[in-house]
Amino acid sequence: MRRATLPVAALAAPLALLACDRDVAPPAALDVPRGPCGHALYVLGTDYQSTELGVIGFDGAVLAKGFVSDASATTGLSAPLAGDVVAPTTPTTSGDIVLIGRTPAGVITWIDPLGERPVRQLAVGAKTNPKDYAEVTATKAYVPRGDVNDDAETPFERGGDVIVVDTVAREMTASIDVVGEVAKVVPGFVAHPERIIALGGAAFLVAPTYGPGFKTSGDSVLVRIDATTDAITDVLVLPGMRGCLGLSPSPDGSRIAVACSGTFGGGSNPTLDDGGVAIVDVATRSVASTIPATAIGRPPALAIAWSSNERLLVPVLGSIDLGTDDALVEIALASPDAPVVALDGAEAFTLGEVRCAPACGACFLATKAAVLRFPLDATGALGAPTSSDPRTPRAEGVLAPKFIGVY
Amino acid sequence: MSTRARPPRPGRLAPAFALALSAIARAARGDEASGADADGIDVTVEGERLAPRATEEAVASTVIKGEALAAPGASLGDVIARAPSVRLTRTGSGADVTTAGLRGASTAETPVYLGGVRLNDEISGAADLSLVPLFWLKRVELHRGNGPVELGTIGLGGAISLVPGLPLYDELRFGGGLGSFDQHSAFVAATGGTSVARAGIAARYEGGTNDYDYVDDRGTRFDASDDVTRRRRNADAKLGEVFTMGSAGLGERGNLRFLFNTLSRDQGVTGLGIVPALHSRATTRRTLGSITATVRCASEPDDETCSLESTVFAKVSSYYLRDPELELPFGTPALANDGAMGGARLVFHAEPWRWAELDVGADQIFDQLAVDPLGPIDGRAHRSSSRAFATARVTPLEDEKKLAFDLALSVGSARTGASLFAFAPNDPRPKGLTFLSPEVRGGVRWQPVRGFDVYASGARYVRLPTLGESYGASESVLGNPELLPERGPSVEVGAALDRRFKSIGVALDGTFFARFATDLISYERTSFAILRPFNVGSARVLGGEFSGVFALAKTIRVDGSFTVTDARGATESGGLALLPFVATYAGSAGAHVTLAAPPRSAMQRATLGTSFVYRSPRPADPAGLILLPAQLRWDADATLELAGGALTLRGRVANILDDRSTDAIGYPLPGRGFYFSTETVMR
Repeated sequence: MRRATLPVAALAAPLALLACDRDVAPPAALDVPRGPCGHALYVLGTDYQSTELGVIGFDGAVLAKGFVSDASATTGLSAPLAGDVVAPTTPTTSGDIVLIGRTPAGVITWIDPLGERPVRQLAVGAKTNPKDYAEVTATKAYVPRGDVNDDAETPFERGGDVIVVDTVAREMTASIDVVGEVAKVVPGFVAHPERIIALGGAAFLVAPTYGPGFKTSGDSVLVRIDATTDAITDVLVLPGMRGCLGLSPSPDGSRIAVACSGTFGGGSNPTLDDGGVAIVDVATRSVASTIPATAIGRPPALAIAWSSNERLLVPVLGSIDLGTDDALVEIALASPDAPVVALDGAEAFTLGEVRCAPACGACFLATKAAVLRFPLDATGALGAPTSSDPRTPRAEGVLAPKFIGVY
Repeated sequence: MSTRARPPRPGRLAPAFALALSAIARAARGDEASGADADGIDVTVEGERLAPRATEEAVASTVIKGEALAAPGASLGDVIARAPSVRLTRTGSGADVTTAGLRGASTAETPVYLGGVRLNDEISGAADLSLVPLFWLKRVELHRGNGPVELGTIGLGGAISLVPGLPLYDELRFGGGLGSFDQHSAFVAATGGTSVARAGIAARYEGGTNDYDYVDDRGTRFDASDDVTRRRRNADAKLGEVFTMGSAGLGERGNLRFLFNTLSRDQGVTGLGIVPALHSRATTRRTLGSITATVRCASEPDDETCSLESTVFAKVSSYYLRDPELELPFGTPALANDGAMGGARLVFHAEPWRWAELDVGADQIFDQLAVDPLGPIDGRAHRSSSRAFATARVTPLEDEKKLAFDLALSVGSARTGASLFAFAPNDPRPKGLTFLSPEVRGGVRWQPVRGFDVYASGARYVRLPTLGESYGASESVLGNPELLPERGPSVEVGAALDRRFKSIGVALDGTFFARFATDLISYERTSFAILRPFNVGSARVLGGEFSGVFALAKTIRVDGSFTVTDARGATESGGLALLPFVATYAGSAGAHVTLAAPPRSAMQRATLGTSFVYRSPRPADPAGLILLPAQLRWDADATLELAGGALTLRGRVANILDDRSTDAIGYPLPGRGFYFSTETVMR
C-alpha cells in the first residue's frame, strides 16, 4: 500500500501548487481633475464575450488601460463584467464610472476611481435587459429596462420600465411603467426602453416598439419623465421611425436627436425605408425635422452625437451580405440632404459609439482598433483624427473599442 | 488498418501466449458481437497490457474499460475526464449537453464514433456525450494523436471511439440505480445464441429532476453580499433507450455483425443559472445502426492474411426545442433540427508478406440537415462525401516487434448543396460547394526491449465545415459558404513502458505533441444578435501527456496522469493568446483495492476506490480576461460482488469536495452526490 500511494503524492504536490488562482487586484486610483466636459472618457473594449475598460482624456491621451475588466474579480457562475456591457449615454455627474451590464444578469456597476471600495454593483433584474443609466439628481438615477421578465419574483424585477435607483443606497426605489404607457399610443406593439438622457429636470427615453418575437416593428417613441415626480409626462410617437437606438441632446439642450436603424424584420440588414434621424424640439415636444436613411445612404447604427448645435455625427451600418462598410457620416442641419462621409472603409459592424464634447473641441469614435479623436472647428466640423488605443496588450487584436462613456 | 490492437502473429510466440492473444484478437475483431464482456469481468491474460492502447499504430491512445464504465450515476464525460488531454465541457447534469475535445481541439474537431457511426452533428459539429449510453460499452478508445482513418477523418483533434460489446454468456441481466437529485434508472438485457449466432437486446430508462443547488451570484461578482442559493428548476430529464447487437457466422469464412441503438430524451432546458428558463423543453431522438459483413479469404478462423469487410451504417436524429415564453436566446417559440446520415464502407485487408499489412478502402457518406423543418425557415442542406483511403503497416526487421512503420492516406471529396442558403433565399452566391480533403499520416514504432517502445508520427489533417457552418443553423446563427476547411500538420513523439514483474505491473507513457491549425472556423457577431462563421483563426498547440499505472497482483491498482498544454491562437495584432477553455495543467489520480473472497463465500469480490481529477484555471474568452477557477473533483466508489458474481452492488460518492466550479460560464454543475446501483445476472 505504501508504494501505491507514492504516485498520488507525487501528483498531489504539483497540483496543490497549481491550485492557486490568479490574484485579482482592484483597480488603482485614477485621479483626473474635473474639467468643462467632465473628468475623462472611458472606453469599453469588447468582443461580446469579455470586456475591458480603458480611460482616455479629452485630449486623446490614454490615462489608464485595463482599469477594470473581466480580470478584476474572480469568475463564478458569472463573469465579472461579461461581454454585453455598455456605458451611459449621459455623462455621469457623480464622478463615478458607471457600466450597464445588459444580459444575461442585468447589473449596474459603479466604479469610484478614487474610492476605498472602488466597485459596487446592483442587480436590477435578470432577463430585464437594462439599457442605459442617467443620473437625474444628485441621489437619483434612471435605468431603462428593455425586456419584460414574466417570471420575476418581485415587481421590481419585472422590467419593461424605467427604474428609479437611489445612487447613495444603491437600491431600486420605484418603477415607472413604460410598456403600458406606450401601448396606449402604439397599440399592437411592445415598447422596449432603450437609451435615456437627463435634460433640464427631466429624462427623455427612446423606445423602439416590436411585435412578437421581434419579427415586426412599430413606430418608436420618445418618452419624457419628470425627474421630480418620476412620472411620464409625454409620449411622443416618431412617425415612420423604427428601430431607434441612439439618443443625444444638442449642446444647448434645445433639441434631441434620435437615430433609428429601421426595420430588421428578423434579418441581419435593416431596410432604409423607416430608418433615419429625428430631431425633436424639447420645448414644443414635437418632431422638428427628420432625415431619412435614404438621404444618409446607410442605416444609422446605435449612436448619434452633436458636434455643435447645427451639426450631427452618425455612425452608419455596413453589411457583410451587401459588401458595404461601416462609416461615420457628418450631417449639417442646414443641408440635411447632403451628408458628408467623414470616415469610411470600416469593416461592417465594427464601428462603435460616437461621443462629442464640443466644450472641449473634440468628438470621439470607437473603431475596431482604436478610439479616434476628431478635433472640431468653430462650426463643429471635423478635423483630421488622431487615434488612441486604451486596450491592454492582451486585449489588442481581440477586443474592439465599442462603447464610450464620460464621467 | 485496424484501429484495434493487433496481436502478434502466432508463429513468433510461445504457444500459450499465442493462444491467449488469439483469444483477445478474436474478441477484438469480433468486437461488437463476439466476445469480450461488457461488464468488465477481468479475464486477465498473460501478456495483456496493463495500460491497453487502442491501436498499434504510432499514435498515443488511451483505453477505458471494465468497472470504470459501470460506476453508478456516471456519464461518459465522467469516465473520460481522467484521461490525458481531455477537455470536457459540461453544461449541467449528466442529462445536459456534454462535449469533449482532445489536445486543445474543440468538439467539432474531435469526431466521436459509436460502433463506428459518427455522432457529431451537422449543426456545429458537436457530439453530445450525454446521449451516449455507457451501458453495453465494452471500451472507450481515446485516439489522442490522430483518429482511425477507416472511420473517418484523421482528425484535427484525434477521435473518440466507443466500442459496444455483448456479454460472453447466455444471460438475463437486469438492474437499476438511485441517486441524488432524484436520479433513477432501470435496465434489462438478454443475451443468447449458439456457436454460430449470438444476439442481445437491452432496454434502459433513466430519469431525474437534476434539481441540485447552486449559488446564483446574480451577475455581481464584485459584490458577494447579494449571492443567493437556488435550486435548479426545469432541469428534469427522462431517457429511454433500446440497444441490440448481434453476430452470425457466414459459413466458414465470414461473419456478420449488427448494431442498433435508438433513444429518446425529453427534458427541461433550464439554460443559464442566473436567468433560468422555466418553461422551455426539448425532445431529442436518435436512431443509429450498422451492419458489417466480413469474409476471409481463408477458411481457418485465425488466418488474417486476407479479408474483405463491408459496412453499411445510418443515423437519424432530431432535436425539437419548445420555448413558448422566449426565455432562451433563440428568439423563437420553437426550434427544430433534423439530421440524417447514411453510408457504406468497403475495406480490403491483406497481409501479402509476413512483414506487411495493407488495408485499402473506400466509403461513401450522405449527410442531410434540416433546420426548422416545421417552418417557416425550412432550410435544408446536404452533402455527399466520397473517400478512398489506404493504410499500410510494415515491420521490416527480422523480429517483427522491433520496428514497425505505418502509413495512412485518405483522399476525399465532398459536394454540398442547400435549398436555402444562410437563410437568405435571394443570395446570388452558388449554393453548391465542393471540398477536397487530402490527409496523410505516417509513423514509426520501435521496441528496443520487450515491454518498452518509442514512437513518433506526423500527419496533415483536414476538417470540413459542417452543413450548419456553411449554410446556417438558425435565423441568428448564419452560415458562410466561403468557409475553407480547417487544416494543419501535427507531430508527436512518445515512449511507453508496460511490463509485469511477477505480481507487479508497471505502465508508464509519455508523449510530446505539437499541432498547428490554420483557417480555424470561429463565429463572430456581424450584426445585432447575428452570428456568422469565418476562417479567422490559426492556432498551435504544444503539450505533453504523461500517465502511469501501478498494479500489485489483482489487489491494488494505482493510476495517474498529467497533461501540460500550451494552446494558443493567433490574434489580429499578431500575438498569441491562450485558447479558451484549455487548461494548461490537468491531472488525475486514482487508486483501487480489490479483495477477493475465499471460495464458496457469499461475497466474491469487493473493490474500494477513489479518484481525483484536477484542471488548472483556464481562460473562458479569447482575450484571456475571464478565468475559470481551478477544478478539483474527488470521487469514491465501492463495488461488491455477491453470489458468485450474480449480484453486483455499486456505490459512488461523486464530487466529495462539493466543488462548484463550472466548465462553461453560467452553467452550474452538480455538487456532491450519492449514487447506488444493483445488477443481477442470471445465466
